Amino acid sequence: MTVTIKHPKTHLDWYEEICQRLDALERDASGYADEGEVLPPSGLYEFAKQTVRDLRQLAGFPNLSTPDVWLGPDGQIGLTWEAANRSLELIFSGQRVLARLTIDSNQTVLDSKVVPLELRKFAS
Amino acid sequence: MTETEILLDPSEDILRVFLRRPSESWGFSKLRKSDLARQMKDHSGISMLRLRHLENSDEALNWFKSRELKGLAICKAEKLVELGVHFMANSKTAKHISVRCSPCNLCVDYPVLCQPQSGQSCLLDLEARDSFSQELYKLFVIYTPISLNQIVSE
Repeated sequence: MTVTIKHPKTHLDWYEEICQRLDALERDASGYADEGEVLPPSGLYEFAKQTVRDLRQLAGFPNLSTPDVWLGPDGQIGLTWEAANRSLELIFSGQRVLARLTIDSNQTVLDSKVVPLELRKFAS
Repeated sequence: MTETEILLDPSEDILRVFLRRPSESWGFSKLRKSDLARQMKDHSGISMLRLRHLENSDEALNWFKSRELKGLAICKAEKLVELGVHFMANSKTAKHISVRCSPCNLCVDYPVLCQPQSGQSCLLDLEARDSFSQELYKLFVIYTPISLNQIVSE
């Protein structure tokens, strides 16, 4: 008799995928750095993860799509959620985070208190 | 030769090289605002190339030395002109142009960096209030996508 053992599918949520993408970027960043390129300090990756972990909790664990994860031209770490005509960017540099909401062409820098609320609006 | 401001034919195709790391596959097929922001610490303006003056698009891909994978984004010059940016180049037929934001002092005295005449933040700074990166990112489309074949060929 053949017995099929079913393994539960591994499903990463958006926060775990962010962490994986950040880890991949951190591994690649120095190996592919161009001359004079500014890279994020290692502590910034952890700061970004911790900040998103806190935001996820404050937002009530919304079901979001995985954002674009990128490194900026001056050693920033960026996350971008996009939906229809709006986007939300979190840009980490130093030990601070800039949250910017763009609706059509209107850009607004968000107060940190309202970021969880705005994040929830990107929930599916 | 010193760079001066030039005018572009509105119908010209303008290219921007964008870069991705090999593991960054989620970002291969999309442009980002950060692709159209300047490196504040060592660049005046952002570099673009004029397709009509290049041999072919491969010349654009090879223009800058980089260990990362390269793709090309394209935009008509008229869209950039409408945005109010300036174009600095060595000659009227230069392949490379340095694109500056509208209030730029057009400084070309490297290594002194350009800055807006008003003293405000450079609008090509990713983090600037009302950053031009947002507008530029919407004007460009991908012309040559990132290809993993570049890893094999290097």
